[in-house]
Amino acid sequence: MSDPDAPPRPARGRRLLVAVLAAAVVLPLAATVLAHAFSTPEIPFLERPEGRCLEGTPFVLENAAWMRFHHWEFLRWLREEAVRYGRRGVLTLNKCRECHPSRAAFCDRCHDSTSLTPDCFGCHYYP
Amino acid sequence: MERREFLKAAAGTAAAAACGVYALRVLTAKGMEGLGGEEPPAGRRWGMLVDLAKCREGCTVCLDACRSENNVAFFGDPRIDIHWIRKVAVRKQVGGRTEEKEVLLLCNHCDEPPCAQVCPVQATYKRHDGIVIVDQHRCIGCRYCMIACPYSARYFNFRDHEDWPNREHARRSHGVAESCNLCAHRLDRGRKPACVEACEALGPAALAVGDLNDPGDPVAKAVATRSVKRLKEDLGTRPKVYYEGL
Amino acid sequence: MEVTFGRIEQPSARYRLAMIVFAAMALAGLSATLVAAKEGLALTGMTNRVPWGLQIVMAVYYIGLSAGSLVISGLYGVFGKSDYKPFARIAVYVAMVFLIAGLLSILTDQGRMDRVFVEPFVYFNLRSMFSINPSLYLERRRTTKVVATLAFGWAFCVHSGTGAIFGFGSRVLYESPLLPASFVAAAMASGCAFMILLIVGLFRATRRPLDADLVVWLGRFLAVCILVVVYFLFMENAYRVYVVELRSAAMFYLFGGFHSVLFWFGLVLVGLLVPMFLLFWRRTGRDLRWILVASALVVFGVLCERYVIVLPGLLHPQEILPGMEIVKSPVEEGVVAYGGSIVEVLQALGVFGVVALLFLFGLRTFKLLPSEARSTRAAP
Repeated sequence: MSDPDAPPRPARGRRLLVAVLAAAVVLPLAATVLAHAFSTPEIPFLERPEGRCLEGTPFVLENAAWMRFHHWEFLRWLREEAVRYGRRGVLTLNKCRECHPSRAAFCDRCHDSTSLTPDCFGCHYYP
Repeated sequence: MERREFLKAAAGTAAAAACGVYALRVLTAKGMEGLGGEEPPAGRRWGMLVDLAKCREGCTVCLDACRSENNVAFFGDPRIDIHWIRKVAVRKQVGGRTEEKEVLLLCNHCDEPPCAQVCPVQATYKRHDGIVIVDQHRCIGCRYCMIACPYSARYFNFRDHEDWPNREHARRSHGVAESCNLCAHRLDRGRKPACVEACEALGPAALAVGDLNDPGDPVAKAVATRSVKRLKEDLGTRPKVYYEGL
Repeated sequence: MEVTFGRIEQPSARYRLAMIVFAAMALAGLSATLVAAKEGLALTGMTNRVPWGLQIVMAVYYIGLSAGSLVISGLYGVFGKSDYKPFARIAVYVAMVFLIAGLLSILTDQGRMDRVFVEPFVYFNLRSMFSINPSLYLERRRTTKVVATLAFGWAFCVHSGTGAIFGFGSRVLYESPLLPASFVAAAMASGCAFMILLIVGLFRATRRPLDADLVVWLGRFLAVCILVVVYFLFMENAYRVYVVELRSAAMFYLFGGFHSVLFWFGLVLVGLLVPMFLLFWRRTGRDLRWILVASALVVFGVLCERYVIVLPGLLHPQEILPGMEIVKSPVEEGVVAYGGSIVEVLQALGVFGVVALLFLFGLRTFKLLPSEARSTRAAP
């Protein structure tokens, strides 16, 4: 059901629409590609990080640099263990609070600067 | 035809990617099993016994304990208030005379939970120990579980609430569904649910929780030997909350 | 007969006005949705006892309209009725637009909209009708006859499935294996009626020649659909009234409040009987104006039907403690009421605004409008 006899002269509004849509697709892609081309991203931890893992897991809790990058993976694992499988130990989100009492200093500082809004604290208490 | 080729290739890639993603999920799920944490003893099946003869009239200790343990929302509006456990007064015709009593209603932790069956994201599910629980991190708030529950035991967080009595334990954001989870966080650590604890503190307890798979457990014994009832047994949901003197 | 298709090249003043009106509706809906997403669904009329409301009614309605519109395109694509080829494109486009409307209604109704784009795809639950369904919505296109037939069958599954969300539940007034089938029948009726209105409206507004015979035939098709709906409706209610266990629920459904008014007047009288009379009576059944009236009534009637599918089943109490009467409870027990709030109404309007914009946009962007629609046969 193509129609060959239609004139190939798109209306002005349509050309604009196509341009906007194309820009919406191309620009973010281009920006990402360029950003990567002109930066030398640090790829963290190709080597095994220093420190002991939490027993039976790949989580190196005692390595602060590791935690800075991967604490969310650890927390998510903790959450699945507790909520889905009922395996609850001494480690909880509340436990973090004992040594790092300030959310503003410990969590928000980094999250804000990287514009991350994790959904934890609406329901989990962290002053 | 170029477009057709492109579509074919795209569909193929998408299908392959989908398979890959699911395989990965299965593999990682397998890999995660049994990684540390405290493994609960295998084969436990939690159940609850409500002995209505021992339930004190007008007493709300268990309700209050539940509310302050689990940060259950209360707004004073019966349309949107949340009650993991609630007490209703019922009237019953027994041989020509009217009998009035109070009944505790809560999530029945069915062995065949309709709420878990309908949940589109598996946020509501039955744990291996039989507790029906909502993963509040995953619930999208579609409320299909509330439609499916034959006991009207599920509630939705229509609004945020300010009260946060138990700060060691999470509250819920608005937009997710919830119901009694038998204080799974306490049972996992070897403690009794808040309502049971509060009831026991008063004297002979109307509420008891126990392992139905353990023949020596008092609740399992009571279920096996005494005259107990479950709600709407004809539905085949096989609740694990048993009533004595209903 | 070779049909050429075109788009609206020069938008008229009416076109622009419609765009503005729909854009305003969409904006109102968007703001209502944002407020509800921030404050919670307490702003709607829904409660713990009535957890589904107007938005679900609208979603079900739109999904039905989508199926019905696809049937019109299927007249050519599947059944080879070449007279209806001119309507095929527009019907498919309308079907797509309504599908978007349905999904948008469901989306805006979720408690946690932010999670909708992640969780259902990661944690698909094969046992949930709600989950099985949207996956059926995904792929529907129409290029060749084979694909059209597939799409047709697919659509049939989709809409049976939507019915099944309700039909396979545990509530007395939901529990019915007949519901998916009657859902599809009502979907066809509403879609056909809507397409009649739309086609005649579009052809008139853009001054394209349209053979009245084609619409008359569509009107007959609509009349048959209505007959099927009436049959299902009768069987379902007769069954409920007859079975002792369901009788009180059936009485509640038929004579229990506002929904009963919608049922008897909105659906049965205005939505089914009057249009059926108009379409089957020789004098009005061939008159374009009366067919349009009948179609409008059906479009309204099926909306009422969707309401009485969704809500009475929730308003009617579940018997939690059989044989006992609950006299005091901290939550609502017994028969409850539902009233949509302004937020819900705005959301519903907004969804309509969005998809109406999409439709108007499509008229300018894609070649949907046929040059003409002529009947190749003599009038039946």
